[in-house]
Amino acid sequence: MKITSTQDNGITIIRLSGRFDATVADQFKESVQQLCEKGLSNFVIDMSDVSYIDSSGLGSIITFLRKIRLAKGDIKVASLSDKVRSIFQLTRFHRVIEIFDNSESATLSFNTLHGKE
Amino acid sequence: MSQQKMLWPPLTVDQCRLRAREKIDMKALILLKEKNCRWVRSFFPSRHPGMITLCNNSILEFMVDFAILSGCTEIRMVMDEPGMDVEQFFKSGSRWGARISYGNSMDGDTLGHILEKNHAFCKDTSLLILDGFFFINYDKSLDYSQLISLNEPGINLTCSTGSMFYVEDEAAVSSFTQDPVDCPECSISPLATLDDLLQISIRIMESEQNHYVLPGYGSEEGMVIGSNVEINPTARIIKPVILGNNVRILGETVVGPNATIGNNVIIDSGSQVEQSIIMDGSYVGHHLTIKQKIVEGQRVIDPRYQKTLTVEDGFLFSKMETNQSFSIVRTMINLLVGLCLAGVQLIPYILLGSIRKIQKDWSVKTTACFMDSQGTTRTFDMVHNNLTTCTGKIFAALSLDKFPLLGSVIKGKLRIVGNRLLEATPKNRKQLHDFPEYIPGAFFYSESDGFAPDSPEEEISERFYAVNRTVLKDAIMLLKALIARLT
Amino acid sequence: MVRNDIMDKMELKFSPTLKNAQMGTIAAAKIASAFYNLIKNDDPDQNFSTDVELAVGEACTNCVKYSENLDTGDKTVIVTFETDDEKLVIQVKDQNPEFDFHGVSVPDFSEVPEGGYGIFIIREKMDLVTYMHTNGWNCVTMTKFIASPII
Repeated sequence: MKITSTQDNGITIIRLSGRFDATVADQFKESVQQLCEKGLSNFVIDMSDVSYIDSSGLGSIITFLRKIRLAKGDIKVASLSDKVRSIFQLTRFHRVIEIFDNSESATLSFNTLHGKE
Repeated sequence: MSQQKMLWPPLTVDQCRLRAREKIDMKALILLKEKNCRWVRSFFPSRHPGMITLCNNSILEFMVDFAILSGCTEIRMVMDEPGMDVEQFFKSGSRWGARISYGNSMDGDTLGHILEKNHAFCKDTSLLILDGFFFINYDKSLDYSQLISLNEPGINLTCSTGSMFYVEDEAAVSSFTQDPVDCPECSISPLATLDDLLQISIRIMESEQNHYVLPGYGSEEGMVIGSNVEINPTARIIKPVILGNNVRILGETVVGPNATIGNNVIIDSGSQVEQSIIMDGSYVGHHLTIKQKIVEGQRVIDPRYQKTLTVEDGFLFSKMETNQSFSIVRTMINLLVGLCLAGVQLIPYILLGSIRKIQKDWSVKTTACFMDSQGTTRTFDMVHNNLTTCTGKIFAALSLDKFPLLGSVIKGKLRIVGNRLLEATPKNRKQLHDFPEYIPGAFFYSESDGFAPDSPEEEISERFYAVNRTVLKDAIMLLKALIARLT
Repeated sequence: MVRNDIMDKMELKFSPTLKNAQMGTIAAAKIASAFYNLIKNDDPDQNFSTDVELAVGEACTNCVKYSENLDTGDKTVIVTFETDDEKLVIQVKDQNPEFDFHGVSVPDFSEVPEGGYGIFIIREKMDLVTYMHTNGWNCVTMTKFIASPII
């Protein structure tokens, strides 16, 4: 799986491409570990090119999320395909992490002040 | 679609040119928040609230129909508690000629937040926003595309469980401060209780069937009927009535007025259904009166008092299972049980059979029997057993009279447990005409329950188990039959 | 009704590495898609092959994950596919120690656990799931039916 990251106004956008399964879970963990060590704490994971995700991939995002939230940061995900979104819903992960249909608005949302109802 | 009526002054030439040039696109955003529809789950836990049906159409489908009628080419459904049944039903929307996609919100998200999460969908387009859980009162013969997009103040409706309004773009939402406006052509009704659902359903059946696209055929005023519907000649249908697909209305029943019968429903003989909704996959037993109720499987719900009664006796109400998954398991079980029984019974059958033959106490006759309600026949060796003699009683107790049928069971031509084998006579043929679920077996359901042949209880038992057939139930019935015979 | 007693069968055998498990999963998805297309004669149902891919993926990943505890013996994973005109039956077999398949509970979603979703996903995505341990082999059998009309 290809993992690239860019910065946009203090938010780190991680772009994943390919299959996010057990073969790449360790690779993902190492990449995000390096980003965390740089002191970055707000992330958007752009999954528009993720063709498949299983419980290993999901588990690595959950581990990452726990770590970031402990550091008072947050992660949002963007551009999920129907296939990927269905696994998020099946594992009820949609209740825990915010899902956007594009990474630009996910990035902007870190800076907007929408309150909850 | 019937001719659309103009509701207001026609467009000027400039407006027409502007419209043609700008090619106004509109998309619909349907927001179903759990807080607005959570109450539904306590009555119907197995489905998403948006899939609850009213006149055999789901609430969401009415919303989708209206959105398309209004000129929307794309629809996004956003839910904080998504339902796989919603996505499996609507899929990509091709059936409705629109593109349907799905999004997620979280509990407590504001409208602004939801628009942000669906920005790629909402940008550069005008939006029809349906925010809440409500029923849209409209008339499919009217042209809503103009009402919504070109006329001030457009659509802006509200009720206690939601609102529906139009904006020219997503940025306009945050500054949308207009007061709700009554609209004679369109309104929204709250869906806060089951009684709301029932009353709207009755209202539609009584006077508004033509306003909506309802599933089925409406060849007659006040009647909408689905496909594969069987109505016994002695049943009375009092309009207005809506019948779904695969419905059986048996003899001496009265259905209607104001009854909605869902898909895959059996209303058994002598029952009356009035001002009620019978949900998909329900069996309504003999001689029951259902008035102002909603029935789903074994649950009878009183909408006025919001009370649910779960009926234990499956002969009265039950949920009909779709058993297609178990045919290979059933085939294996039939084979194994057939072989086991044949193995156990072989020697007693030969010994006792020889004794009884000398006594001339029994006979085996090759008889043509019905295999299904269509009249297919097959021949079986049927034992005629004299139960008054001692050997006759032992024969029956060990179920040896079933031995000749085991060959057919092992070959897969007969089930080990099923309905009573009926000889191929005109009388039995007539009986089967009204019994589409009939599948015979070597051991009969009614003998497991110990009912006498041709008794009313036997008929009920046979029909009930035919409709509620499962591999597990069959196994239990077989054990009961074997034990009943031994004791 | 025609009874089809003989199911068409094919088999994949591989050593328990994550790469092989990935290939096995992709193969399962392709087989499911081809099977669906053959029976339904129209565009493949995305859900059918996706569901099979997820379930087989979880099963194969588990085979590899739990094989890493063993340091002796010849380890093999076998995935078999059997079809008839109404269903696809997939067996995933490995030589790992026996485990309490039926005792695995649904994850506590409120805790958002990092793992333990595998068997839950298999059960949700497939119509029938059974487990056996015989002659040193774990065997998870998963069946998915082509959707048929109601009653």
